[in-house]
Amino acid sequence: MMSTIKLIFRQLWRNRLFTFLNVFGLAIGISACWLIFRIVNYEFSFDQHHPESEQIYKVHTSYEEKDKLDHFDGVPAPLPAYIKDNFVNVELTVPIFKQYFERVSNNGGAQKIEFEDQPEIIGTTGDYFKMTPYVWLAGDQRNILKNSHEVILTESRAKLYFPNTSIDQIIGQTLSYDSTLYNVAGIVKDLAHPSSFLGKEFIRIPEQEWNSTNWNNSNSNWQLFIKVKSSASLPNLIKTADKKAYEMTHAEFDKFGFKMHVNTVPLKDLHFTSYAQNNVDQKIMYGLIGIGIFLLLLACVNYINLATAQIPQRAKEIGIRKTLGESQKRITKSFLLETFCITAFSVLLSWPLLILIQTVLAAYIPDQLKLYPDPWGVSLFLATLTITITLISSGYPILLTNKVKIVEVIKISNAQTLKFGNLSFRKMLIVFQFLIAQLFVISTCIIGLQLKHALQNNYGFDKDAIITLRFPSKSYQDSNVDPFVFKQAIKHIAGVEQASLGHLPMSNDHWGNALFAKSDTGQLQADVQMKFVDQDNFKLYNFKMLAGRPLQLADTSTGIVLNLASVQKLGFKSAENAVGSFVTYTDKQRQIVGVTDNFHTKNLHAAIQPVVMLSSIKKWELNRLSVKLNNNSTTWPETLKQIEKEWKKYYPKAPFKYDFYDQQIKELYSSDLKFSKIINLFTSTTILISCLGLIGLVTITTVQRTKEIGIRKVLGSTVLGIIGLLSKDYIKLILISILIATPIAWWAMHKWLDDFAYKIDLSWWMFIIPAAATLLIAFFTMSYQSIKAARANPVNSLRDE
Amino acid sequence: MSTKNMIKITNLQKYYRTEEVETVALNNLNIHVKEGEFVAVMGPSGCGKSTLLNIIGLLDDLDEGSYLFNEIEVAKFKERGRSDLRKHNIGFVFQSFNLIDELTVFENVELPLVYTNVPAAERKKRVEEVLEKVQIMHRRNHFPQQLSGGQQQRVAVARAVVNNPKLILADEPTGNLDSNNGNEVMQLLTELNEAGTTIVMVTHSEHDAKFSDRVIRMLDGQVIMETTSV
Repeated sequence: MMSTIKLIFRQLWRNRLFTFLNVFGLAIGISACWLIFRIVNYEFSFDQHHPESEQIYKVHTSYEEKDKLDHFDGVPAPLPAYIKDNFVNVELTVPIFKQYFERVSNNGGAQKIEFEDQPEIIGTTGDYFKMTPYVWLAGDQRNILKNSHEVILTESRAKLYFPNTSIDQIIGQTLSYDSTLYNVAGIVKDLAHPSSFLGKEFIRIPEQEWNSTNWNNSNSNWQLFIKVKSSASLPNLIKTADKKAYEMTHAEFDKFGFKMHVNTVPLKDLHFTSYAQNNVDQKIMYGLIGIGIFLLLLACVNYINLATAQIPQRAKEIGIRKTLGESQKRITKSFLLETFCITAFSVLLSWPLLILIQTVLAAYIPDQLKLYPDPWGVSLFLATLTITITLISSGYPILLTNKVKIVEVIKISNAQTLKFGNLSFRKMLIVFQFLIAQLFVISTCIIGLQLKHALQNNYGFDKDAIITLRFPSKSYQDSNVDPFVFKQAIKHIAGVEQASLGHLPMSNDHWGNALFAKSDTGQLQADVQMKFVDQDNFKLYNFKMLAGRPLQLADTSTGIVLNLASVQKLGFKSAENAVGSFVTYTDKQRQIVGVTDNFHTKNLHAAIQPVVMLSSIKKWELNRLSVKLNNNSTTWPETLKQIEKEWKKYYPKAPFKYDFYDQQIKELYSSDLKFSKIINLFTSTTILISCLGLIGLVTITTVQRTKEIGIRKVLGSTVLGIIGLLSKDYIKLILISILIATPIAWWAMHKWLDDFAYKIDLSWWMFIIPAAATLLIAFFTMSYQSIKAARANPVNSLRDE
Repeated sequence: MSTKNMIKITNLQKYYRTEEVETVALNNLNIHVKEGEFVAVMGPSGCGKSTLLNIIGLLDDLDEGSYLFNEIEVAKFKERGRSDLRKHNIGFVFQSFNLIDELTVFENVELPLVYTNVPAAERKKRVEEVLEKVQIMHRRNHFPQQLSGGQQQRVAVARAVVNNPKLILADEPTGNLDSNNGNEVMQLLTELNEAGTTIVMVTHSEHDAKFSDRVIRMLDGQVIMETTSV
């Protein structure tokens, strides 16, 4: 065994180039798979460690409207108490009502620590800790959350608020949540596994929420879990709760033509339920697994190709070993061991590569992933992966070594000239590698073009040289200061061209309502997006008016501006025709004073939507400020400094934060940009692996054809002719890959673009340019070896004859 | 020399076939080699000497005829049986030495013992003995590329004899060596033969053939003449 390992290591060292190509190629594939495993393992292990999890359900509401059922991950506030009081089969009722506090501070701690906008503070009942597998570290477990001024912390939060204090000493300490004081009554260990129970700080659910009687209002901050004694009782529970919900809401909801239902989702399915908060798309997980398998196959194919190509070189050694009586079984074992060693090296190298990929793709990796390292799961995965790769990669080369005929190899001085294996099989492998690579190259090109199109598109308003600010919402940050006052103050700053309060024309925010207009055929309804703005908004964003005039301050209660899509939806013949007409909005008549051309309110995935613009003076409707700077960007730093100075005057306790609007628009494509980044990475990976394989194969071909090259040179072939000769076969194979990849990529990109309401048209050059790029990359990859071979002195290659 | 035949080949036919032509490599060939005999096979290039040696060494199949090795018919042996017979009975010496470049002198010589599952301590003892015998002990930790041609062939001979085979097959063992080194190798083979090992050697060299007991001359796949040394 030791001598076999020694021999393997000497061989690997001797063929350093191939060892490197093999190890590096596999390491890239393994690191990608490793990362994908971590993500998939993390997502699939959600909620899998709760005791009796098959009896736990999340309760949510659904809204039925004209045969359409929309699910909503939230409940009306009275539902938890109703279920607890009326269903004996429900063992545990756990409301999770998010609580918001502006500031949390360790009142009286050794050093005062203050946190703003702390997430994951929830109002619940003691049942929460019976449903979830928390380990209790300190505090009284018998009277959990019985007292309304007690808080239970997870260990991580406890250490955050009370650094350098022991767990036992933290019990009884006081925390200040805005103006209310809470005593730390218990500390639990953070959950060791991913869970939908995200709470970190627990207080007793406020009385007004638990005892609420308002069934009409469901809120995504109000969530409810139940644990039933038997799942058989669930249909009856849903039916009874549904009936109750209808009884309590139909008077109001009938007016709008919809009906509320109560529904449940089993805990084990929750993380993959599309309407649940913090969900992931199971299809994406399967897609990732698919990509992982593909990359791994690609790396294995690379290994097989290189190992096969090396067999002629190895044939002599195998021949000698067979002559001396080594059995085929033993040769097979030593090849398996060699592949295992290479795979093991690759696993080692994939570790730093993984860290590198994680840094590049940080935005795409779940934040919580690092909290659950799962060393056993990863070890098991890597062990399985190593064995699988060893078996897949060594199969074909071993088959070929079986075919080594002793008499053919022992008499030949240069066994490299022997040809082994089915050449068409090897060609197929190259075609497969470059097919995958080409699919990614075309996708990168088209996704890049679409994103460029999206970012440079004319959205129907100006977006350059505009900054936006959000007014503070917290009381201690002077949120009561009138935004109009601040707007007036900065309007006079040199370098500020315009300032306007109100909604941004394009953002992820959505305010919607219904608008009605009378027509010859009756009343027409349009579901519209509302934009509350002040009178300067039109000038600042340069909306194109088709008819009428922009909004004025006087229009606050009577006037309205529509975009062309709304006008058309409400049945007006033209923009001019609509101006002066009346529409009904929130039961009030409003006169259309102007019509703008259509403009985009969402990213280009969405079609143009009907929009109404309303003048407002209400602070909560105008919590954004847009500032148009002059076109000379060199003056911007000074202008921003002046704006900040004013900000500090009016809102001294609020941080001064601004965004350039064109950057904010870019963020509307963040998921597309992330997707594009992933595809770019896969493109580089597949191209790199394929080129590594190509380098190896060309090296072997060059060695095998040394004599032929020598003869051709003696007979007068040029260097260029030799390069062409050596590259021709591979270029042909890559062309075949391109031919197969192009229609597949066309179909896939067509599907991807379908998701955009506004998209580029696919054109022939989007396929030709990537094809040319791949060919060029391949050609340059091969050129080093071919040029070296072509320039070698033929005397040397012909001497050993 | 015993009177018992170690090798008895009768009516041997061997063809090489390509898609278009069939070449007769050995045609109705009959030979025998007695235990302890030193036989040289001579003839022009392409006459089938090496093919014959490969068949004797069970490295190649025969198409027709019979091959008795120690009175056992081995012509129809499967690969496993051939491999077993080879590793316990036959040692090979090639013109191009055929040492494994990645193994040291010691490891190359040790290899046949590894395949016959000889314990490590015993292996060490036997390898050292045989290296002493071929006078290459001082180079035991060198790799083949670090040795001269003559030294490499001495290592190859050491490897061939380390398992105490009954038969040594040598395919032009001095073909790549100068006359001094060639003589040394021939001397080694002669000593082995004198110690009882049967040797079949293919050679172009009349000088080397003189070391043998009998010379078999071949032409076009057939034995045309046999001469016994005086």
